[in-house]
Amino acid sequence: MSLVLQSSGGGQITIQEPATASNFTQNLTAVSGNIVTTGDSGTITQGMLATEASSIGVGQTWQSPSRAIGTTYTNSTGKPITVAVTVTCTSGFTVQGLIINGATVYAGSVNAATAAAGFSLIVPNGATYVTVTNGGTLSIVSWAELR
Amino acid sequence: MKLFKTQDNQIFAYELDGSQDHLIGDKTPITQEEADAIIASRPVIEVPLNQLGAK
Repeated sequence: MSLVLQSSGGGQITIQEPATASNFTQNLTAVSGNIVTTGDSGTITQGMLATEASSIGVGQTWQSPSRAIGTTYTNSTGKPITVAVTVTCTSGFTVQGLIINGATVYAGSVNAATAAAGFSLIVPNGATYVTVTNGGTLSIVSWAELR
Repeated sequence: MKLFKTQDNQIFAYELDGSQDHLIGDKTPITQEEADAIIASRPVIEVPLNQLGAK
């Protein structure tokens, strides 16, 4: 058995019974609202909700953890994090960044000794990260993480 | 953070609450002063910008 709701616009919405011998209950919410889909039909799965919950920025806040140059840290938050760093370098015409899980990623540069470089990078869940420069010695000016 | 070093003097930091203890493995615990000394003793290697792409 199915229930058909006829639209004044000519279309219709059908509520179809499940093909099962067991009994199930689907409660309607006690609030007003709409379930929005991106097309004529759609399903919001638990996988979709899990993906949304694990998205970068969702449920995360900018924090200022204590960090040091040359020390390796691990993102074990369960989500990707964004690391935003400003450093100074003793050598000009150098580039700076992070080594993320062994991959060197340069994202900032200084063109004069003691000048500051700023960069931000995404660190995947489970990855290690440590500062890197192709020359000179780094000092931290600021370090923030969206985590 | 708790500080550790590997046999090749790489320094790792883990959360104090024990949530990352499974990552410590056979690393050796060190103090902040030891970590600072290790970092200060590292040679500064200059890599020309035009050679970075080959890394």
